[in-house]
Amino acid sequence: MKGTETTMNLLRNTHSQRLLLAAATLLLFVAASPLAHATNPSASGNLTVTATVNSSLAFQFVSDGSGVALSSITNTTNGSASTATLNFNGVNEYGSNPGGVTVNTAPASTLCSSCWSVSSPVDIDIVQANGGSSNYTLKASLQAAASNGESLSVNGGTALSTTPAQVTATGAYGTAAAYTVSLGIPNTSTAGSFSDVIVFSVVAN
Amino acid sequence: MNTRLRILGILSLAAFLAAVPLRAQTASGTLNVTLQNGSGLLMVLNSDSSGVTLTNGGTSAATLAFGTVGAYGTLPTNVTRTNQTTTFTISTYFDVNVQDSGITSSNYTLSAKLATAAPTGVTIQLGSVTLTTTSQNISTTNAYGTNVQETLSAVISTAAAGSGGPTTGTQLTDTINLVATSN
Repeated sequence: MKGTETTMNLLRNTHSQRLLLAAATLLLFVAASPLAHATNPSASGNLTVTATVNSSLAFQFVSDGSGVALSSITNTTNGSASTATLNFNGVNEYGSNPGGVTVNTAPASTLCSSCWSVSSPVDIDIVQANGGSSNYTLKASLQAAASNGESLSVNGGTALSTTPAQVTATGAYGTAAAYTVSLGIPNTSTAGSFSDVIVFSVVAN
Repeated sequence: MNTRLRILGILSLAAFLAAVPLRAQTASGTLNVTLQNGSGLLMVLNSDSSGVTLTNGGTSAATLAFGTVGAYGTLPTNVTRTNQTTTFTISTYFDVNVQDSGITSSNYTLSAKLATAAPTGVTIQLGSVTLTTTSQNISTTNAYGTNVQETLSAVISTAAAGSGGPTTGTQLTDTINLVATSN
């Protein structure tokens, strides 16, 4: 009988101990869990960003209010050439001519001889970004040699060739500066049309 | 009597452990296991197919190099530009991928800040948020386990160096600290 009571006591004790251990474990959990759930889980990452900024120029064609309106203007900023078309349309040495066209029956010999010419101002606006230069140098050349006896010039300079020639060495940034484009036509030319491409290049000074 | 003493001893031990969990090695160990395996997030920065290729992409510490840029002229691949009156903005994409483990939230909040102030003449944007050295929310409902595309932009003054513009010809750098927090 005593042995049975001892066994019962042991069982009760074991049960009590389990309860106590469970309580202790619960206490531990309760003590620890507020720390684990005090803030939402998070993760982090670092992204290093680098860039090198260079100064750059933009070339923009603008129609001059006193000249022939340019057509097909495409001013780019992505490094490709800006383009525009100056169409003198039908011109005559004598007689009426389109608005904006100036006819010269005795142009400078540096443009042509035994010829007459038509001209129109074309505005060019050079925009500088992140640069410290105070002005620019503008050069012009023909994309291909004139093949019909015509000649072209910019700002009264000598007739253009396929070699770049300086137009100005002190161009001002950020303003539409007028440059006169002239087309010399031989007196012996028969009625017809001319088409040439002038390539402008600009460099910061 | 002996049993009561044992019970009192166990109770005392339990009370002690509950009262001083931070000073007990057992409590600290339990806490670590809970944080790492029970509810955790992992952030990885990936290259976006439409963006600049990251250096060390696939990790949580990557580099995004815009390369050489200008207001005008050609740009590196996957860098776009818009020109404003006195600034130009270059942009590209990168991906943020946050994996969750053992948590019940369905999305996370992404916040970001600059490690140091942006270089002179440069403003850094993530999405539409202009970054500073103070953390700001970028988005609040990002999904776990997928690449979330982020747009990184740098707004750059066109002024010359010394006149409010950035230093030219040298590499400018800054670091964005990104934090994903479960909602």
